[in-house]
Amino acid sequence: MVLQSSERHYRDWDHRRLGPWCSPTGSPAPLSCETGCGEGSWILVCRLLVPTQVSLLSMEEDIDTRKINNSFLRDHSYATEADIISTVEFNHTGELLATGDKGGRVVIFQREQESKNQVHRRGEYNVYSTFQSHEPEFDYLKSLEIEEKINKIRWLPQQNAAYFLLSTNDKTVKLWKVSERDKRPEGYNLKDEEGRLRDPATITTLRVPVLRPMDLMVEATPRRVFANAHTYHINSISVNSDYETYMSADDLRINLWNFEITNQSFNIVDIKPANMEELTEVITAAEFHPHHCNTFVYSSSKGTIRLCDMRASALCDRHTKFFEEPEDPSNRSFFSEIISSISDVKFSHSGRYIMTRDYLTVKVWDLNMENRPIETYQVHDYLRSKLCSLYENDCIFDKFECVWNGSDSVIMTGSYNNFFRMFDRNTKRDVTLEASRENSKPRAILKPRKVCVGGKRRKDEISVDSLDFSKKILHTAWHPSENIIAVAATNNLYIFQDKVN
Amino acid sequence: MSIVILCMSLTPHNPLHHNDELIFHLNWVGASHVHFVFLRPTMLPVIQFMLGKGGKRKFDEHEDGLEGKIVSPCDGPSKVSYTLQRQTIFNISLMKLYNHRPLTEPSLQKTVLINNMLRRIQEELKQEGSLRPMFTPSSQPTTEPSDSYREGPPAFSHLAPPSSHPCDLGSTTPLEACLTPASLLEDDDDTFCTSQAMQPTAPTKLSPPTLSPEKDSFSSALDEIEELCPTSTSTEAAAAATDSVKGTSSEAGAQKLDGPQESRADDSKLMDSLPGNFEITTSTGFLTDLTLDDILFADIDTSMYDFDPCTSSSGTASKMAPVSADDLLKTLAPYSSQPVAPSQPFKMDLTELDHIMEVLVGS
Repeated sequence: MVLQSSERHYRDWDHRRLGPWCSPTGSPAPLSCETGCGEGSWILVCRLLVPTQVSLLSMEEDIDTRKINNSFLRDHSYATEADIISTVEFNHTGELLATGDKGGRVVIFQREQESKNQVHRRGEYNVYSTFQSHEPEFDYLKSLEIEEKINKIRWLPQQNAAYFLLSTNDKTVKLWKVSERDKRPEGYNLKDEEGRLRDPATITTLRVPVLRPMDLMVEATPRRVFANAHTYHINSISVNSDYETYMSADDLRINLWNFEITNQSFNIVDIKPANMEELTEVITAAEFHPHHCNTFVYSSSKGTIRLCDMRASALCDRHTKFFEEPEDPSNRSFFSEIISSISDVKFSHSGRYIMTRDYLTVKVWDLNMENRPIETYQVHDYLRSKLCSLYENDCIFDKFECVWNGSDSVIMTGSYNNFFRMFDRNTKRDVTLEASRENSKPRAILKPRKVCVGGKRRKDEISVDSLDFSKKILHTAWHPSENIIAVAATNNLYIFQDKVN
Repeated sequence: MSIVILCMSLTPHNPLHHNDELIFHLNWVGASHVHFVFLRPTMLPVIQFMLGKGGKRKFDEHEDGLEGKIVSPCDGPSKVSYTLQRQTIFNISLMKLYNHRPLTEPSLQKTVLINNMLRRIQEELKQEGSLRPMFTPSSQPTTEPSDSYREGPPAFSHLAPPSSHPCDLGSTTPLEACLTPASLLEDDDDTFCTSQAMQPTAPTKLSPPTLSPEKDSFSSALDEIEELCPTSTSTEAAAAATDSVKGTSSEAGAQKLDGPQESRADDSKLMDSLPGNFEITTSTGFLTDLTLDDILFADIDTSMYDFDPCTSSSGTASKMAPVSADDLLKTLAPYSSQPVAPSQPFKMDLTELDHIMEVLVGS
């Protein structure tokens, strides 16, 4: 790993921070390619695995990232369930990419720096740090295990040389500090080089310890543990734009935390009914507004989104805005409610729109219009006739996520058979791509895929009946300013980049 | 004395296809002083679904049967298939709720969605029931007992070519109704096995109300056991549940529900069963109770065991029967099945059942 001074980090961050990526219509300066997803083509940058061995590597050792990446790219057929990636998130500059898996591990990848002699390697991500974030626990009161699976990771904006992220499992949120150490003090008086204490009687001279450069070491330390505030399973965390507070949402409650205080949190939303038998709706996702620190939204299992203003009252049970689309009577079925359950809600970078993902569609809402979304995109409408089987095998409960690109012009979400879909909001074009091992040659251009819904199947099309429903892409992430996407398929992390020129 | 519930198990590596012969093996639990109550293997179709789980199988393997037969209601299908689909979904939902034995807490969102589904279906049934206040159970002793058996297992049409099957009536009575005295199974093993082949040909409509008499005798049997052995909580619960069953089913008028009913629209089938069993099973609040409170508050409140049939007619959640029903359900290897009960063989089995009970009582 290249030795980097912390000062350089700071400078880079400053430069990127000023990029106008918040503007909804203008193209941000660093965006490498302004063509929409329809015209551009996507190439595979790298495919990364997270095998169990990585966790055995000590942080102190000199980690040759190239070696690790090569071992990643070997075909590990023995991937364990603990390696299944459960969340993917770029940090605010896009330099770091964090993944959480079912085994409670967090792996952070860092973008390869540009170098003159290896220009083509820019855009590749290598392992930066790995640590065990959560351990499995046992709830003795209910005799149930608490999974260590990382449900969400959210980065804090960088304020000094270290990186901070929040990671959460079902019950506990932790704040991790990831910092680099590239200098080591040498020349202690009371300890020798191995750290053993020296006999004071043998010391004849005193010296001042000096800092000497060492091989870069990345260490992660838990700085805060926010525990015991959620009876139900945490499904979302969201950092507020004031960078001092964040919220954690479970099925029935949303709590507001201050980063400094771990033993208290404010409850800002509580939809638990007095009589649990009357429970018909749960919270499925929640997010703070990107600019207004008093505003947040949360979505429900009934397909509704509520926008709340914390200035209105301490307990935001009464919403400020209520977004719901009236049901289409022609599409009514037994499963209407289940497929309307929103699995993810995301504010646009501009803060003007929200995007919601339910089972079959992605919808874009204007915050100023509550009665219906402004755009609806069908992700895999061919599944509408298969809902009964999907209900039977539980696939109908899969929680797909959705992401905006940096300029809010393209949205992306996952589907089955390792397909993921991109929708260009401006040109109204969409594309289906596949993240698979067969197309895993680096720099290979992804071929658009098509699902044929019946009748004659053209060449290269795949029929609905041959879709593999065990291969689902639930988690994706888009670089905040460039056209680089990370797609998690089971235990593989695919990184694709828009092919420039 | 304890009651051991046997359930069927199918070899997982031998998945069923709708044209295959149904082969099943019974796992015998051998022990002294253990008495067997057989669970009616009427959930075979659904068990096939369960085998199909695992996510590795291609979608088409277990979808071809069911999906092809189910017409989405918005296409204006026949009412029968709509009811059949509704029934299927109801059973799947029940199975999901009760068959899940996770090490970790089940997802609340999933539970709530499934409960809402069940509630909605039961609301529909309730409304349909209220639209048809009178039904004449014309006694139509169609055939011998084997006919009735034919009804049972292929509750889901995917096992047979699409024909308007009676949807399962006793859908509203999930598990209590599927208990059959051991003697019945002994007698009709063969017919059961071979009935599948005959099934497609004659969709004889079963009478759901026959469940009531069946339940009656069985519940009385359980009652006797319970009297003798009041310590076991499961029998307690079973007795409490069957108490409630008995109470309401007697209201339904067990007498009139004799033979298999005349073939009619499936709705009427459901409606027949409703008056008798509605109070017991339809308050989906009980399902919510089971899934949420049962997890959250694991203690069973025994004060709820005196069940008053009148009070739960509102259909709202009544905690009383539910808790005991839960115990019963738990002990009964949770397959929500089509309760199929032959009526005529049932009568003669009453005596046999008495005999069995004597044996049980004796030991």
